[in-house]
Amino acid sequence: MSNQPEKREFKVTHEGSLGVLALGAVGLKLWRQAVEENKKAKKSKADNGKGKK
Amino acid sequence: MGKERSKKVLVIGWDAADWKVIEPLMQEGKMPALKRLMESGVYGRIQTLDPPLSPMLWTSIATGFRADIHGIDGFVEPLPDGTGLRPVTTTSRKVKAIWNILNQEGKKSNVVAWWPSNPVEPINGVMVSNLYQVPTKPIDEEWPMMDGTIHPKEMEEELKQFRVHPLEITLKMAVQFIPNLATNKELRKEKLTFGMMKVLANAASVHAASTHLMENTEWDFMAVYHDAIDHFCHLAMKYHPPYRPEIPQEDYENYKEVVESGYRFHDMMLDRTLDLIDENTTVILLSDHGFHSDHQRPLYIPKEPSGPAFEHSPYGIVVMSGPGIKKGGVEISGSSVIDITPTLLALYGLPVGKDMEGKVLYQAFEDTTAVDYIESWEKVEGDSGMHDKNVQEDPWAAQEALKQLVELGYIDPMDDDIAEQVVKARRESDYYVARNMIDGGRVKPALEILERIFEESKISRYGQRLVYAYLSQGQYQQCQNLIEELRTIEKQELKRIKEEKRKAKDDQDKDLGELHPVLWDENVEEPMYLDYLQGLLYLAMNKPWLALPLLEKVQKKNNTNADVPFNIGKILNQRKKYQMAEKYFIKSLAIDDRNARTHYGLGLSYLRRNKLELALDELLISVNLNFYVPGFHYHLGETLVRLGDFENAAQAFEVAIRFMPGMTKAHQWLHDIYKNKLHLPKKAEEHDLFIQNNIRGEMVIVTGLPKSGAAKVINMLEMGGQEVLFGKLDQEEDVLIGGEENLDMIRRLSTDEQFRMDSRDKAAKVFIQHLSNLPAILNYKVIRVNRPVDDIIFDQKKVIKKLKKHELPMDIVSKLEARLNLFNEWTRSRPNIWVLDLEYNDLVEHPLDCAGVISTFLGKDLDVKEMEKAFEK
Repeated sequence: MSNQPEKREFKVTHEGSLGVLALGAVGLKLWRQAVEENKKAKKSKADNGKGKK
Repeated sequence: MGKERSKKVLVIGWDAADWKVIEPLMQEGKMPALKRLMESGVYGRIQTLDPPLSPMLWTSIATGFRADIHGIDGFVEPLPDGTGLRPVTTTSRKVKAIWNILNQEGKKSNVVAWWPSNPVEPINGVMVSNLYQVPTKPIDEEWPMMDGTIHPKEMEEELKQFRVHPLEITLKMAVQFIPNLATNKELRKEKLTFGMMKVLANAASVHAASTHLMENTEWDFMAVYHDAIDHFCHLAMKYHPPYRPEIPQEDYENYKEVVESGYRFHDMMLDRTLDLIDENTTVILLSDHGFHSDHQRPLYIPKEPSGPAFEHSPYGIVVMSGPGIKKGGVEISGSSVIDITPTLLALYGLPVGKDMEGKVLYQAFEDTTAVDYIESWEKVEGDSGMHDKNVQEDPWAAQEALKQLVELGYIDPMDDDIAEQVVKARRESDYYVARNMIDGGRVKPALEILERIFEESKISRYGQRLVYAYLSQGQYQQCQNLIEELRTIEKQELKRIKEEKRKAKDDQDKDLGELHPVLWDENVEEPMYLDYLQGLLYLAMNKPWLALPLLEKVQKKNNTNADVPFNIGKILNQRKKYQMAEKYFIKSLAIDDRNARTHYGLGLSYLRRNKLELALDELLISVNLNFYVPGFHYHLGETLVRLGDFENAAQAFEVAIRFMPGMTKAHQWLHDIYKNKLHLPKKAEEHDLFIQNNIRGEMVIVTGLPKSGAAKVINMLEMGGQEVLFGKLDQEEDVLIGGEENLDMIRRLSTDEQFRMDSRDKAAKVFIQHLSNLPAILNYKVIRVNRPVDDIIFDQKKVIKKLKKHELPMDIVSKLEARLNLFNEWTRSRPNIWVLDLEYNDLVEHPLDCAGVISTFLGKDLDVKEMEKAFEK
């Protein structure tokens, strides 16, 4: 039986978290990806908003 | 090739990590990864080196040498052309680091952010410099990777992406450290908030780079260094619970979680790191020093280079786990940061350099088979991966790193006079090296450095350190002169500051106050430390009656120095005032409960009052805190004997003689215990034989010029319970030259073995001119009674009749002086002689204290109150 604690899955958002930073290289990549996606989403939302006007 | 204990080792450095912070967090389940690591291997405290300055220490950790040998002697170093300063570099390191040795052995290493590791060395593996994570540009600009940051250079692009800029830190991350950031927008502009973000970003960068390398490269050795705990602590330890009244309540509420969150973040990083290793990897996690987190937190940081190091405590943490290491959470003691490289070599089955100061931490190993040694790894040829000494680092990156050191308070801001700045920095580094040498027991060369830099600069703290060096060398006159010079310097300084204070107002006043808090008190004429030093000098000169009032004065005004009540307790123990001594030892422990000597002193105060259980507790703590002092084990043995626990007593005495094989008394105890209590005649015989063959016994010799009072001291010893062989008052010969009976005793000691055996442990008066005839086969504890020559002569009735007052017969004076010189030659020529100098006038004026000093010197529990009567007026 492993004495390692149970691992949980969690979602990486653009806000990040200490948990994400603590994952090291992998976490950092995922977080930056989420930041980029968020930027894109915001931009697209803003662009859509402009379009509606 | 020695025994290989492990194939892969991962070293994780947590600068300034301290058990005092970790233990409560672990109890609350807030550091689970570290707890698991501890429970699977060994853990303990690790002793730092003095001065506790990180670049010097991490280089000692990686090399097994001190600063004067490894060459990293502070935070900064002059540029090669002398036109300025730069952070210390790998090019200044004069010896091989562990990764250079492993390089020669064909092993691959990854080294991340070690301090210093800039410019990176061309090792077989990857090196990421300590400037890697330092941001050099605003977030919206390109953050270039400086030359010398990554080896091999082709990995630059790959590793570049793992640097986290402080302004990338999000609110969600930051509120874990400063929860009020969520609601208080003003708080986001605070310097401490930005400092916290910077430290967190740096830690995340180092961690990301190291985890990337762990996942994507082959390695035999990996070292990752994190400075973040140290930096979080310097930023916010003053706000860490428990609350201190001098801290503004609002600031406390805002920043009280910074340190705890810093530790918890490290535990999270550790968890991830441990996920990335296999079962063949041994992990060593350590810090270079601790960090005061309780009432020992300094109330002010001195405005001097490396002032923040005042917050550092002398013990860090060490945890080891994996192949080669004992299992099951075993606590180990006796580790020093300088032991890490020899221990790493032992893990890999490589020989340890005889020139390395550190020792292998066998106490952590499952298999304690002795390691092999080689003369020096420095002499081993081959590609070590050390780089060309002419390699230059990028000046831009260096300037950013310099700025960070200024912000942390480790170095002064650069001023306009570069040349002067370089001279000051050089001198400061010499000061650190001298301290480091003293810490390693090399006082003489350190003394020369301190004398030079104090002479050049007249800086008080150099002078203070020089006082300690003179003290340890027994150079009491120089010590006294220097204390007086320091008094003059301090008075001038005080006058100057008071003058400035009168002129200055408001903010400037505050600055001056921080410079030296004692200066706020108008009534203080000079800082207390000079009285403290004077007190220590008197103690060293065996004048406790002069030391005590000074130490008590210091204790009343400044109760933050644990050494002061400790020394008072020591004096009171000597005076057999054990109950009072106990109070002072407890006061000392209230300031610093980890001082082995204080627990020992307290233990003795209990032992002598027959409070054996309490004595046992204290002596066990002292042994646990510092395993390497034979006296601790000896008195632990004595306590156990008196408690009837003979088996453990024997074990304690065995340890004492392991550290001091010539400890006659311990052999005698062992002989008695094995013979009469444990009924192990063979073992008893071993110790008896050892005593007969190796330790021919010890005698107490009292000497001095005629009429110096030596016979009175012999009487004193007898009254205290010491057996006397020769020299009681009725046997004294009232002559300047001669002493046939005395000479006869010495002849018998040399020729009559039975007489010699019977004389062991006894005291004898020996005329000074006969000392050199004593057989070398015995050890001697010599009490020399000194009295001014003119007093002696005028005390000689026969001589007085022939002389007019104040007139000295020069032939007799020169004869007496010649005898004193003979004494000095004799003590210098023999290794088995220990000397205690006492002044006749002190014996007359302070017989009780002198009796205490004698009793301590002889290591015997003499009846000092009876001894006092010998000199009663």
